[in-house]
Amino acid sequence: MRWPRVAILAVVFAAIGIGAWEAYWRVAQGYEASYRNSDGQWAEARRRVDRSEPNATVFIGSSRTQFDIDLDVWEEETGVHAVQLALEGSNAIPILTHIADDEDFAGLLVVGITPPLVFLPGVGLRAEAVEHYFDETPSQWMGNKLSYPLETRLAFYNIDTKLFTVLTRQAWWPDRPGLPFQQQEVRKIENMRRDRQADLWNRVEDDPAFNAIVTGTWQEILENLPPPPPPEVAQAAFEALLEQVAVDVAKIRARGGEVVFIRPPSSDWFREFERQASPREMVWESIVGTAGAVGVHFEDYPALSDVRTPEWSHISSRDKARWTRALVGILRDRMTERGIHRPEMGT
Amino acid sequence: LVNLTWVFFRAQSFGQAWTMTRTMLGFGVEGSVLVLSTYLVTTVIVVTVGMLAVHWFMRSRRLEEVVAKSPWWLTGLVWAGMIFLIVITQGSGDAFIYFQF
Repeated sequence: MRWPRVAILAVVFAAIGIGAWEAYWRVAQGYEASYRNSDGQWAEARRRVDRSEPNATVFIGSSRTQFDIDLDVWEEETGVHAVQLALEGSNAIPILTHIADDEDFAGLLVVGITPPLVFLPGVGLRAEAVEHYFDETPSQWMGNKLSYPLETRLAFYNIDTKLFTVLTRQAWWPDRPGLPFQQQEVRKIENMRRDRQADLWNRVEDDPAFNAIVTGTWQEILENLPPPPPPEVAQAAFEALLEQVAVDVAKIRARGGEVVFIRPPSSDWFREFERQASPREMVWESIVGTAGAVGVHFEDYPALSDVRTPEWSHISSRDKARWTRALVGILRDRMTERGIHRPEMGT
Repeated sequence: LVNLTWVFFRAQSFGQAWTMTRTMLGFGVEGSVLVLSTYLVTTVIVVTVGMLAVHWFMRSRRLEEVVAKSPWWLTGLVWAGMIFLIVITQGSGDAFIYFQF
């Protein structure tokens, strides 16, 4: 057995196979290489607040806050390169508490509210990101750093294209009648930068079949939520949440920081669902009221509602710059009205 | 056989063990619900059959002999296939290279 030949053959053919796989995803499916939005990446952003930028402008919230804010426009308008800590599928309020508990933070915290998510027990989908921030081991840190160059070069290196994930979602698997609801995985819908800004993938807007998959996924998730707890329990939990918000905002203000709330746009079926499940007066108004903070709801401002949300929940990458610029202006005005002084906002 | 006995080891009661055994053998019990998709059933069957087939084939051979007798290019291609599959499966965790110590 001539091992050198075997090894070279193995490497060459493996490379050909991987190259073909990469070409397929790039060319036939239009994927681009982008960051994976890993826990390590969140921890990296979070550490900016901890170590180098305690007076930063920090964004928290769900994926809407991540997708809808254009960090470059924000920097043009305010001079600050903000820290993007929003986490998809996650409740912003525990993260508000997490930031409030960080004694170093005395900057401007922008909290994006996605009303239904406020009822999640705990953080939600990305709870592990916060735990990872506290417990990250040196080997995990190293692994993440080593992963970055691959993430930026390999289009196939993302959640959608894992071999078994691809196999599971093929339509040719026969259904077993009587099988209870199986949640389809959420597809990759964004391209992410190193600073965690996410841009809605244009394919969601331009490819009707893919768009249907994404909106179908949101509908599936929302229609199959577990039953809510009994009203008394839910009410008590919500009241506890409001108290927590008040406490956290007060803590941040006591250190010289400030908190503002934003309600990014949603549309169509999703918006209707939110109206039923988490009406404005109940959720948004209560949260902003209890915090005694500036709250900017997209429905109150034409400039903030006049954008496309191709899959009902995130602003198109083509409209986000305009939206962000409008948001900065509106926040500035509202903060001036209230006499809140933040040098980076120019008030 | 071992799998069947594990059920009895693990179950909280004889009734539960019996229910489990019956469903394992394909006899549904009152109020039973399907939990495995066709995909999962298929993968389990394929892997189990494949594993048994390989074990049967290898029952009186050693791996080193099999490899030594195979043409070099076949070994190379099999390795290439394995590397390729490892890479495109991507594995779990956020880092591609996963150290654990």
